Amino acid sequence: MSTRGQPDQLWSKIVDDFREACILRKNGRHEESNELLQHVLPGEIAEWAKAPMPPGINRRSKLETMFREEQRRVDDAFFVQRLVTSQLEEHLLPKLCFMVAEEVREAVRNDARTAPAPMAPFPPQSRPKTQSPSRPRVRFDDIPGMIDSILHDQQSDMGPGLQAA
Amino acid sequence: MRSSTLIPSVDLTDRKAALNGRGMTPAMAEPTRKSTATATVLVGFDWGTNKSCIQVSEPGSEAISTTVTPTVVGYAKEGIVEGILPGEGRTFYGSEALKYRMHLRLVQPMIDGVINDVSASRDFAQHIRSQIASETGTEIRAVIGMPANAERAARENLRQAVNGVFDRVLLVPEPFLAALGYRDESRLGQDGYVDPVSNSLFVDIGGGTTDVCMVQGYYPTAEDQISFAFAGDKVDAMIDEGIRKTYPDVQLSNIKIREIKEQHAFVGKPENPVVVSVIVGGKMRKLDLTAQIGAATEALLGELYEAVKALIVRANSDTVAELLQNIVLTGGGSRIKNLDKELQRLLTEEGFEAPRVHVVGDGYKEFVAKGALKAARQAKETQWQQIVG
Repeated sequence: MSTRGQPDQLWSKIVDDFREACILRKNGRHEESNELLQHVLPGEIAEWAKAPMPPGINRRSKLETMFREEQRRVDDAFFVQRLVTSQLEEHLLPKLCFMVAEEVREAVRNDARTAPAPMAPFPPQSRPKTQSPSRPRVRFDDIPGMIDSILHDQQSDMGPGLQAA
Repeated sequence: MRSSTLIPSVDLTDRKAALNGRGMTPAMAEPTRKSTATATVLVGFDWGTNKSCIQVSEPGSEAISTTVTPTVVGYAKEGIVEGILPGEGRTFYGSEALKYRMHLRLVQPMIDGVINDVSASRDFAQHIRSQIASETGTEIRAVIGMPANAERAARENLRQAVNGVFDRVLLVPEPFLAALGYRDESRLGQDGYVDPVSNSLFVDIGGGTTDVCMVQGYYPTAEDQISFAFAGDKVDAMIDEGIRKTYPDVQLSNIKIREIKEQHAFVGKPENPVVVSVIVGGKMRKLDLTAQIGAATEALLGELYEAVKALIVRANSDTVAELLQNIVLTGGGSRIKNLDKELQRLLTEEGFEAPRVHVVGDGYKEFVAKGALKAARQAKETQWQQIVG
């Protein structure tokens, strides 16, 4: 789609492409991300830079703000995704499995009552992990405890693969 | 406009990159390192945007050395004639860099409390390391302060800058270190001494960021802290803008503006007009900067007040009365005249019950480094991190 001469559309395209580059990078698709960053965006930005702009708008600052915000948005989105996945895997799915298993078990029991045929032993279900309580607050004079807390926060922020202490 | 230079490097460090490149391994990962070190030196490093404070000690020793230095690196300009720079040096640091700034390209390693230039930061860290007297083979371990809101990328940059400079590091939020440094354990239990960490609100106004942190006997959580990028540098920029508007023919360097601010900054009603003498075009001129300084510091006060208010309302109703008695201003911005009184006035006018705002005094430069050294002394062996790269 040609966007020549329309600053708003050019700008939307730049934002979309930069966001896409961030998402690709996050997904490990570095080549495609680099293609956008090194070959597509520079041209788009150059074109946008030539387009007329209302007075008082600092193009550089507008771009830099957008870069920062989009990176943060993508970071936040991936963080939330990881959080939701982890919650789903650790808490919700086991709980759901347990509930379904209980219902199945109950249904089987009812069937057994009405038709007393031999029944295979029901496989044991792992109970859902209880929700880990929020970390206890660390007293101020427990400096090693506080360092542990800081490292824990930094580690969870780094992603699961990076070991701290 | 060269658009290509505006494309940022997308710093979305993934797990693999973190482990292969700039990641950290636990201290335990290389147990042999410790046995090869002959001694250990502990460093508390307050790496500020404009000023840095370093405290150094050996484990178990009470002796502490303290150094405060401007956070700046100066690189010799191309083509400079011999004999101008001492020792024909190419790189200068701190006060020396400022002294010879006419012949140097000055680089601020940090902006807004986080690494701005990794290479200059690395040089600066190397310089700090070189100032620490130690025998060959001594292991240098540093606790380094960072803004409470430092994001992963900021921490990675910091780690990259000190990779290979310090043997082991810990990055700890500055508000916590400031509170830890401000606390005087030797006076705990004494009549009249209020333990500042039992129920206080710390306001640390640095060069790049202002951190407001509620400490109520426990390590503060994210909800107990607010950090924002309005601090000394922003005040400088506003003063500069004000001067340019009022006196278009006057151009003052950042260093001069900071110097004027440090001498004259005030909020509220000034005792006297702020009139400073500056050289413009080779001639001495007197400039009335009362309005420019007043406007910039009022803006800071406004931001500060909002952050303080936001944290106070988060406090438990049973503890808030005592908290209001212990609002502590620290950092370079705490030297702004009447900042304590004006903040107290605003809080009182808002209806908060008898708030009391204190200023920590001249020791403010050392509190973060002091807290960092305390943390270094009590860190467990397994908590120290070693950077690999």
